This record gives sequence, C-alpha cells and structure tokens, in this order.
Amino acid sequence: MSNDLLIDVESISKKFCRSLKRSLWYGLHDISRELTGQDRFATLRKDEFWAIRDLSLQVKRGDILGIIGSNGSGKTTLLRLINGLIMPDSGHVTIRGRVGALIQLGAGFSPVLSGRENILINAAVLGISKRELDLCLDEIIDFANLGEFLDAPVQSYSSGMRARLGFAVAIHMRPDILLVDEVLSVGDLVFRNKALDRMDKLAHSGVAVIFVSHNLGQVDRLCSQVLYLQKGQTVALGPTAEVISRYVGETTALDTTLRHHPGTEHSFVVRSISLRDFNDQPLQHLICGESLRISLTLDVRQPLQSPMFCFMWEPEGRSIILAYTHQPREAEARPSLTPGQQVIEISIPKLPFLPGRYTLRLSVSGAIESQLLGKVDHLATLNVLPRPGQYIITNEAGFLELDASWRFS
Amino acid sequence: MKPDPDTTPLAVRTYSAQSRIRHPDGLLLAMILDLWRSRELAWRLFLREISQRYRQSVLGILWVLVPPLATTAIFVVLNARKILNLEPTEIPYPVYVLLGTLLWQIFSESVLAPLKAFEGCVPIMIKINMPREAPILSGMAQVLFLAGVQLLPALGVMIWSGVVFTPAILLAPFAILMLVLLGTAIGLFLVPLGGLYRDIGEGSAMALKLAFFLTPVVYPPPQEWPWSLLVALNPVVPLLQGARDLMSIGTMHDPAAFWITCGGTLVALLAGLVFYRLATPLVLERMGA
Repeated sequence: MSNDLLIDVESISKKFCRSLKRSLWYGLHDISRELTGQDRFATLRKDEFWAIRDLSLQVKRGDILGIIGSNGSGKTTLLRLINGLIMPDSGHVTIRGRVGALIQLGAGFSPVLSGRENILINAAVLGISKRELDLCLDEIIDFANLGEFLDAPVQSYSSGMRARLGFAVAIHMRPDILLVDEVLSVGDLVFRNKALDRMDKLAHSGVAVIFVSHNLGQVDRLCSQVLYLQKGQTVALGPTAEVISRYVGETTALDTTLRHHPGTEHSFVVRSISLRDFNDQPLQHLICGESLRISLTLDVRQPLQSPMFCFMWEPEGRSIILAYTHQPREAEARPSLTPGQQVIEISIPKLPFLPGRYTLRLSVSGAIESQLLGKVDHLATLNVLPRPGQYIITNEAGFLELDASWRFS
Repeated sequence: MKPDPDTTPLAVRTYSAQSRIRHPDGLLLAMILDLWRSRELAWRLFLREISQRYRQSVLGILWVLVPPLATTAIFVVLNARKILNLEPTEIPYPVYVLLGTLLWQIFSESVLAPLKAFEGCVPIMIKINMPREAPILSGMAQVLFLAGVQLLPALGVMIWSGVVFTPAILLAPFAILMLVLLGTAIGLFLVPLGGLYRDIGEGSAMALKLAFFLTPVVYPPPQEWPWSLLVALNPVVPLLQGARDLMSIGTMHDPAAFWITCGGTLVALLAGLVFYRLATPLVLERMGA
C-alpha cells in the first residue's frame, strides 16, 4: 500500500437481515462461528439481502470522494464498514491513520450535562487524549460558537447548536481520514459553509475525505471524485461532473401523465417532453446562466380554443412555485390547436437558476383562464450545475441569480 | 500542528471476514492495547454516569445505602423475634448481616454492570468506533466507587457495635476487588447474549435474587450434607466469606479456597474479556442504525 493511499476497499460485501427475530438468531449463530474460528457466512440465509455487494474503492491523501445514491443504496453501510463499525462478510478494508467519522454528530452527548462537560466526553469517545484536547479546547469552543450556552445543559440547545458542537470536536481531532455522513443537513447557512470550507481545508492539508450527501450542489462543490451507489453496488465511480450527470439522468423518474380535469379527458395527452441546450442537444444538466429549450409534444384529440400553457419550476424539497413561463393573458392573442400532433417550443435565453434540482410542472387551461383542462406534476427534472469557479453559498441563498452591474464611485 | 505524514508512521488497520480467534496472539495484544487506550474514555463515562445519576436527586448518593440497611434491618428483626432459626454467628449478627448484604450487593451489581454499561453505550458504539472495553471499565469503576460509599458507613456501624479491627482489614479491599472481578467475569459472558435477547438481563436479575438465599449471606454456612454442597460449589462463598472475615475477625476460615477462587476468577475474567471482544461486534451490527 503506497504511503498516500489511506483507504483501500477491496471487493467487500455485507449482508443484512430483514426480520429482527431471525437477525438475532443469526447473531447467535455468527457468535458461535466466530468462537470456533470459522469465517463469516458468505452466502445469503433466509430473509437476508446484500446491503453492499462486491464493492471496491481507493481514496488517497487529499482526495474528497463523494458518495451519492438514493435512500437505501448502501451509503451509510459503506461508511460504517470503512469505519470498522461493522465487519465485511467478504473482502477486506484497509485503512491507514486516524479516522474521524461524522456518522452522527454529537454521539454521546448527555442532555443534563453542560456543553463544556460534553466536549470532554465527546473528545474522549473520539480518542482525543487529555493533552491533545488542552491544546485545541479553545479552538473547539471558538468554532462551536455557543456563547453563554457553553455552560448550560445540552438539553437546552437547538439541533443546530448540537451539530456545531459535535462537528467542532470531530474536526479538531486531527484525523487522517474524515468520513462525513449527511450531517450538514442541520445547522444554519453560516455553519454549513464554515463546515464545507473546513472540509476543503482539511483535504488540502492531506486528509482523505469521504462525503455522503443528497445535496448534489454540495457534492459538486466539494468532491474531486464521486461514487454512485445503487442497491449496494457501484454504478459509476469517477470524475464528479460525469457521475453526477449520470445519476441525475438515471434517477429522474418522469411521470408525464396528464391529470385531466373532470370532463376534459378526451381533449389531449402529453406525448413527450425534451429539454435541450443552445446547440439543440438533449441535456442532462445545465450550467447556471446557460440557455434552455423546452419542446413539448401533444396529441390533441379535440380542437382546443386558445389554450393557455403555464410551465412552473419548483426547487427540490420546496413547495413554493418558483417561477412560471406562460403565454399572453389575452385569449385572442393565443393560438388555437387543431386535432393531431402539436409541438410547443419554449426558448429561455438565459436561465437564471442557481445550482440545484428543479422540477418542471405544467398546467393547461382553456380560453377562459379559470377553466382548467389538466396538469402534469412532474414533467421533467432539470439539474443546474455551477459554472467553473462560481461561488455558491447554498440553496439557502435563494434560487435565482440576478444579472447586475456594479459601480463604485 | 499536524504530524508530518512522511515521518510519522500511520497505524494500519484491516477489517475482513476472517474469524479473529484464528490469530490469538494478535487478538490478545489488541485487547490489552484497547484496555489501555480506553482508560481515559472509561473515566469520562464513569464521571458522566455518576454525575448524571444524582443530578436530579436530593438525597443523591445516600440512596445506595438504603437497600442494604433495609435488608439488614429485616433480618435482624426476624432473628431477634426468633422467626428465623439460625446458628449463632462468630460476630454480632447485625454486623454479620450488614457486611454480608453489602458484599452481596457489590457482587450482584458487578454481575449486572457490564450489560448495563454496554447498553448505555450502544447508541455511541454503533456510530463511533471506540474501544469496546471502555463501558466495561466504567461499569467496574462505578461498582467500586459505590462499594466504597457503602462500606465506609458500615465500618462506623462495626466500631459502634464493638468489633475490634485487626491489620487484616487492609487486605479486605483486595478481597472485595476479587469479588467485583468475579462478578464482572460472569457479567461479561452475559453481555453479548443479553444484547441480543432482553430475556438474559431480566433472567439474571431474577437469578441473583434467588442466589442471595442460596449463598450464606444472612445465615452462617451450613456444615451438614447435602447443604454444605451449596458452599462447596458456589464460587462467591470463599470470596464473600473471606472479605467478611478479614473485615471482622481478622483471619480467614478457609484461605486455600479463597486463593484458589482468586486464581479461577482471573482465568474466568480473561476468558470473559476474550468472549466479549469476539462477540460484541457481531451483536452491535445487529443493533445497528
């Protein structure tokens, strides 16, 4: 193993059991095998499934590997295997150096003790010696930024404050390997940015980082390589942009069924939708500020008198409708559609969306605006990526980038 | 501040599917290292437990004196009213019962301590790779601490009832430590099974209550067959009797049995630690997030 290779995972597999009763029984069985010197069962028993299957990866000093995948794809299991919390059922993991794992922030906080007392306990759990802690206690307190809450019981803390405290302790343990599992979903904007910056700095100082997140914007900003997991197996492992766009392309489950308003079932159906870039190429992701073309193909069955098409963009995880693109309000200014295949093209020269995932929705009404003909809740998904070098705060910054010119005088 | 990566050799660890009992030397070495590494953590866990347990209580630590005093009072009254028909004891009966109940309670808590301490740390252990021996050490420290708190007032009672101490009392802490180690050894075997099945925890608390009456704690050891078997086969008896003898009359009735049991206890403790180390990871992954 070369000096720079800190994490070496060689074709590991891990299985779990769906039934608790059986899982406990297998536990007893496994204990008896361990005591009699037999290796672990490498085949599936009843009710078991592979949580990780034949997976290999390597992370070097200074690398940041992002892991993405849908819920239940094995991301956390993989981190727990690398951290030695669970043993593989086949294959092996070799790690070099001290591991800092943020699989759960603030593990071991006891609610009745104060923040300061908890720092001591948490540091001991993470393996920081008293001497080391004395050196960095002030830094931890400074990073956690708890003010007068430092000596108050932790049960009076907000979840963000707990996250800050846990993160502060973990990053100050001078790890060689840092495993971060979706812990930045709590905490406010300032803390998240501080945390992301700190991980970036740690990587530059030679730490190997593995970062699990559902926030593709964060993964894109931070990671040099990405692993895309599905059902415990590697789908793709490679450069960030490539893997993210593959993930987005594959996981975008489109539901283009038109939900008709009662009584209008026979008027039209959506045949297809395509999102294209300015070169008229089908696109999987868009760079912030580039142009977008939407083309919607309809199968019109009954003449449609001056229908109004309204496209709405919804940022992921939010219920608010961000923006809409619609036709003129006056019915007479809108064309009518005759039966047959009709294609509607919309061109947006400069899409101002900040990086993130957006869902495209459609609603169609008749000549009179209040007469709803039908709607599609999930017409398409658009993944917006940052421009090279673009500074993104996070989704909290809003969703739009305004084109503005500055002048100082 | 960061150690230079080129000069500091990094610790290399490998996790694989192989049973660790196949490399007993590595296993023992890692175990001893982890016991050493966990001292600071065990101390913190100990402080956390103690300060947490009594933070919301007015009487605080005085509560540990209540059960043995209550048991002693009951047996002293029962004996004085001739409801019990006991052989006379060498030392005043109240002192005999008080010491016996205290020592039994120390033993019985040390049996249950590993499982309790383990369960208290499960939420941390499934998320953080920490030495698994730390909760055991912390549990043992709690038992010893409470033993001290309980025994000091007992010494006062003994002086008050006219017991004369001999220098042998200085050996008593060793005998008590052995009693705790025996309890811990038994407790270690219960942890992996008790972690999987709650029945073990419930069952052992029950079994200890029963064993209290099967052990000569509140009555002098029976001499006649077949009741003498209770004494001969029970590993708690030599240690408990030894500690009680050292604290009261100053000489042990059966030093040979005492020292043999001490040896056996150390062997059992080592076996318990190895069993615990091999089995707990398998238990923890079944409790995983």
